[in-house]
Amino acid sequence: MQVAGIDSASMSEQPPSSGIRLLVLQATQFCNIDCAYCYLPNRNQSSHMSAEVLAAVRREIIEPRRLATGGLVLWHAGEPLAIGLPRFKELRRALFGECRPDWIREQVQTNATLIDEGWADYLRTAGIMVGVSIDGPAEIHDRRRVTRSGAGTHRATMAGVSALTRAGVDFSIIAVVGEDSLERGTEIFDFLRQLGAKAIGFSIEKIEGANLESSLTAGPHFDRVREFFRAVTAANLESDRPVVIREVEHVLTGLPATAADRPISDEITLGRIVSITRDGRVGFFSPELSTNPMSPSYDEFTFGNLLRESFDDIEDRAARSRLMADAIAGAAACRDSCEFWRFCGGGSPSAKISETGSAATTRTAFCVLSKQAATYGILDAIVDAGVTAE
Amino acid sequence: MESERSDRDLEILIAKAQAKIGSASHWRRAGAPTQHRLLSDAQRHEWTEWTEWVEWIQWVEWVAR
Repeated sequence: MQVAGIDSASMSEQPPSSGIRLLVLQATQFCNIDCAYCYLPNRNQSSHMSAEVLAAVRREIIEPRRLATGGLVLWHAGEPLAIGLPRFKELRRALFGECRPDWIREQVQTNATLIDEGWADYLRTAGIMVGVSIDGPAEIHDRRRVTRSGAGTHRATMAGVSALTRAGVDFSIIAVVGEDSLERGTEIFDFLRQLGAKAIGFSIEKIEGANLESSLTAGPHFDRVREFFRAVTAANLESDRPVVIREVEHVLTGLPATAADRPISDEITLGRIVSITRDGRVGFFSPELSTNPMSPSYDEFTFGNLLRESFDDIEDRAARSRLMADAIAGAAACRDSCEFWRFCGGGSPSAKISETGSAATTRTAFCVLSKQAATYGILDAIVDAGVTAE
Repeated sequence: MESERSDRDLEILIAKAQAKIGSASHWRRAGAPTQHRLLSDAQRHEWTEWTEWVEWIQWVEWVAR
């Protein structure tokens, strides 16, 4: 990946190949819009992450090279661009100094409504990857991606996408799939592809955190979700300009594996995914857990604060937590009981807790739809594909 | 629940998909397959940055919504 503005000479020593693969930074929990399915609580509170928190992240995680080679720093868990470009630059300087080490990737996940020429130029020159959240054409997108007054946000998102395109910034897309989307897979895919996205992920709407309902349930919607993913995959394979579809890649990654080959998922492996809340608290496992409202079954979803403790001490506490024990037990039960293990690796502790109250469980509506039904649909399309690979 | 399908259904689909894109022993030598393997030469020609984005997708197993 081309990363502009990087001083590789100062980072010539290679970091470990194992380590943190994803570091989620919550620049703010505030979001300037109010999507109906959002899992984030308190997203109307406008406080920012401080430079002191980022300096602690630099001291405890970046400088000791706890991030794996190619590890991703992801600004998310709120709308990161809502803090404004000057503040964002200040936080990045506290984290990286004048330039980001060349073995670290960096991304913002954004609703794109705040992207103007200034943001787009900065994201390009700083070599920051961009993930845009957009659900499809306006008619679909504006049903649930709305402002606090209920107005649609599609027009503002499209203006941001246009600014990215004019500036030559490549971007990926995350589209949430609800019941309204299920019969319109090809239409949604064509719309998103024509925006110029390089990669698309389709996220099944789920019960999680502050979102207590979903328009999709496992039984009634299984076959329709399967057909959605079949249609999208088939459309991509027949396209004259195909894109990377996240869910298809994940199925293909699992296809040659046996159950014994499949490792436990990153969401259940301590130290693979680390989340830092805006006030410096540290979470592990599913990033959504760090912002979740408390659960009756668990005392905490974060395990200490980098402003007061070392990363080692916090990680040790997480290793001895009930959450860790339950997440492992749940994954072991998945491995022993589910034929989709090779495609999944144990699922999402966050979804398990949100649906069942415990991470020690197995099947959730979310995994039935987002893994099982999606896998069936993608395999349907691969089997029907006209091209036989070499 | 609709998801209560027999293992046989899934096994058949997996076997057919594996037959479509090559043998398991080949994959283990060459690494995991990607969508690239399912595309025509013309489609691949249109996609010069495929490898970079596949690598990103595979690297970040959890991706935000």
